[in-house]
Amino acid sequence: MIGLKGTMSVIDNSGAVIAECIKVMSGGRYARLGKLTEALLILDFSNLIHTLAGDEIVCVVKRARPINPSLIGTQAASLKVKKGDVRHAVIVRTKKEVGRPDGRYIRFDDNACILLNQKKEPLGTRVLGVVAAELRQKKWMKLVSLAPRVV
Amino acid sequence: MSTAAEAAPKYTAPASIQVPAEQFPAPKVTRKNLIDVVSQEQVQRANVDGRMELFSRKNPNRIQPGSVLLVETLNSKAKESTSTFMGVVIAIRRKGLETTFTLRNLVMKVGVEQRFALYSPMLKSIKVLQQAGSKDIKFRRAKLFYLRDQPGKAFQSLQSLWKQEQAEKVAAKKN
Repeated sequence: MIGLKGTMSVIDNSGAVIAECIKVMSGGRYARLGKLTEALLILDFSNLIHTLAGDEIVCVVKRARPINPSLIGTQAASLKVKKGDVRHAVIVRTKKEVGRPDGRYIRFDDNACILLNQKKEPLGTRVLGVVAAELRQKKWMKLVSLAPRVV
Repeated sequence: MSTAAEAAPKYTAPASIQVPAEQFPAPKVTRKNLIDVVSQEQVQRANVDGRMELFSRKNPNRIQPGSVLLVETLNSKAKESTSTFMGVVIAIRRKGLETTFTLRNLVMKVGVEQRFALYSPMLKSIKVLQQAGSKDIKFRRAKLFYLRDQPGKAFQSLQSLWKQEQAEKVAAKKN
């Protein structure tokens, strides 16, 4: 449950380290990893409707990795963000437990997000860390394929 | 009284109600809490592969908090594919049919906790990789939430247990 001022770590290689939420795009007070809806009865992840996907937020980059100007040339370096940038992001891990349709609940030790560009594509080229399986929607398939581990 | 019962018409449920196939003899309900009787039968019906004994209070070989379990869950009722999760049991909540247990593991340095409903039909199997309660693997608490802040050595053996399990799987497939 990430709300206004909620901080989370950024787990891609865009350069940001910590981001702070400034707007929850779904319109609610908190952004969640997923929420149980009437889709509970469908015990099959592929049939779930989009409400169970990670919520999108707008965030401010609070801390970023320093951009070394002498290293410009690789694709990754050109995507780096700096402190104070406002970007869209998608929540990939929450400390608040998320219910799965089969009665399981899953909880991570921290909150994490992945920065996106205006076209809802990931800004970075790699994902560094675990990602929740709630992201296995058509929208975020690219993220899931980049993730080293999906739980 | 007996003649009145014999004379009464037999009750047939309407088609919309699913009557479960009779598996157990009619329970004795005199001087018993009816809800307890019903919930006990619910547990017995859900106890397909003997998972009730793993979590009962009196069984000397029950799973104790601190044990390492490997849980396999079906991804969907239609398909055979499963997902596995291994972790240390940090909490067992005994509530009849709604008994749940929580497993904690460190996945890529991030702590992940999963709470499983014991009698869920999507839970395929539970395998005990390391039983707690002996020698130095003894935890003096029922709920090990303190492991979130002070893990100590609790999660060190998980890597080797996972590798052992994978090796056993490969050996089983060969045979």
